[in-house]
Amino acid sequence: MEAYLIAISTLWGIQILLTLGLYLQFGLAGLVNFGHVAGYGLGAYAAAIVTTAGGHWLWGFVGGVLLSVAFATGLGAATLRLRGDYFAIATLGLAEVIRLFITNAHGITRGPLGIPGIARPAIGVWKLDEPLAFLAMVGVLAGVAYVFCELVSRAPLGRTLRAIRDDEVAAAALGKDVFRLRVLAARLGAILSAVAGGLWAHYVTYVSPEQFTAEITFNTWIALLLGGTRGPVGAVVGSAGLLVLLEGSRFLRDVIAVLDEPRMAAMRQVLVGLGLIVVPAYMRKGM
Amino acid sequence: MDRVVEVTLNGLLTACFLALPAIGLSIVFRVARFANVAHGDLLTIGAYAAYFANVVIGMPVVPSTLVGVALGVAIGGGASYVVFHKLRIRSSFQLLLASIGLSIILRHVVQLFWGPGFLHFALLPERPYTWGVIRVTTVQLVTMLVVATTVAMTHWFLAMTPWGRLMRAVGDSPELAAVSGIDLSRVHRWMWVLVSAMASLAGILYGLNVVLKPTMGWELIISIFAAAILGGIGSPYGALGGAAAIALAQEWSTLLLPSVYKETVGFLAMIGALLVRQGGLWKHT
Repeated sequence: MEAYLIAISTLWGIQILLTLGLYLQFGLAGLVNFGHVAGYGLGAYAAAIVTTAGGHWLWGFVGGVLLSVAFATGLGAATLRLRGDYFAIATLGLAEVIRLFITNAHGITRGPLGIPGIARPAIGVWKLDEPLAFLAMVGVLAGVAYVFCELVSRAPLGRTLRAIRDDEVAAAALGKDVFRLRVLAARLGAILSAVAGGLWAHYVTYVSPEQFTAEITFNTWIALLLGGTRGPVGAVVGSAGLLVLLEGSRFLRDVIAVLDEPRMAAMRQVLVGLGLIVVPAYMRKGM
Repeated sequence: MDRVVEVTLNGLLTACFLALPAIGLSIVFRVARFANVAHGDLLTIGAYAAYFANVVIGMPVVPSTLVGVALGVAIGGGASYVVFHKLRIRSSFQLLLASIGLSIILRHVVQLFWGPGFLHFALLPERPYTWGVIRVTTVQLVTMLVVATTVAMTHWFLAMTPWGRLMRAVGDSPELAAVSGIDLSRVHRWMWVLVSAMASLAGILYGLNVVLKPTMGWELIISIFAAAILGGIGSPYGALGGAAAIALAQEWSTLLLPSVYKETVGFLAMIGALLVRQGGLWKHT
């Protein structure tokens, strides 16, 4: 039970980082990003490639963040001038392009085989092999990200981003560079998703392309909408809500014995789908 | 040369799978005003419904197709109507999220019943007809014929019938249409019947030519969007041209690039086109 609680808390921490990234993009700047998983995947693969090649794990994180920021910049340059719905579809497609690349660049990523044997990080002589030690690292990073989001949200930058979200024309009329600030929000969100990806890679010690489907993006949307977008605390609460939704159905399996594991996984996704329909319509302010 | 002909034929066939859902997506965007991500999964529902009739019940292919379209309208179209018009969902952002939710539900319900693997219709393998370098099977010929006929009928429906006129009126301005006494929810109902029937048919044709799997429609949705957007979203006839352009660009790219990247090519063509012209390459009709 203790091991399970530690595992769940670790997943919660990683999900908080992902959801905070989406909070910066959608909650503050109003970017409807359906490609959030791309930064997560880039972060995870950078960590996997650097550490299995013998590099220091810190370089893996640095590499992941740089890659993911570069991707967000390219995504912004290519699509941020598009109208809302078009932007959403474009981000969905671009994340799929990244996954196709990861699946097919065998020389770099080993393709569908994935990369096993990613070591847990070590700080000096202190190796974070113990689940509890790794959870502490996840907790520290999630905490730092939370404080960062809280600061951004209260700073003039946060107010400007909200102004752009609410009325782009008015913000532009006040002399705000709308396009540049949107790209900035996309980059900040990408940094957090890359850190989450790096932690995921070190946690499960194995990455493969099918871990990075649009499912991750949609789960994160559920978490953000469940918690509401009034402040970063919503991302923390919503991420917990998402885990209850996903893990609760795992317990349900003991009750409904007729469903085998693949069917149960499908049932969980049906729940996520229902969440995306019901939550934005009936719980507009979150939980 | 052989390879070019083969790839072009593949492109035309892919255009057939994309054309009907792209037209449907366009109609939904124009009449109900949101980007329907669940549109691809309407193909999956129709295809599996026909599979049920064909393989489980053992009906021949043609009646199975009719059963598949009917069940596809009842399940896929019915679910769409309830989710998008009967719930308290209003803004286009909420509708977009709800369409993602519906899309996830539809393909996982299919997976719940049939599992995640590949399935095939009960069709005997056949020898293709050959004219010089051109090789096509009966199924491929029938597919092209059925799609061409359906596109023509849709054109006739939208342009010539009173129902089509109502739908276009709502597409131009829902407010004006409502104050002139048009029953909006009736128009919405018929719109979902029309587009889910077209999508189911496309899904069944895809299943007959390629394979059935729960993610078949989801994997096509980016290309369907590319076709609809390239053709000027909201314009059914542009969507047809968009489908041909995207499908040919995808298949021709396999002459130069590994074929796994063909969806990427179609998708990048869409982004390029969007940056040049937000309204699509063709003018709205």
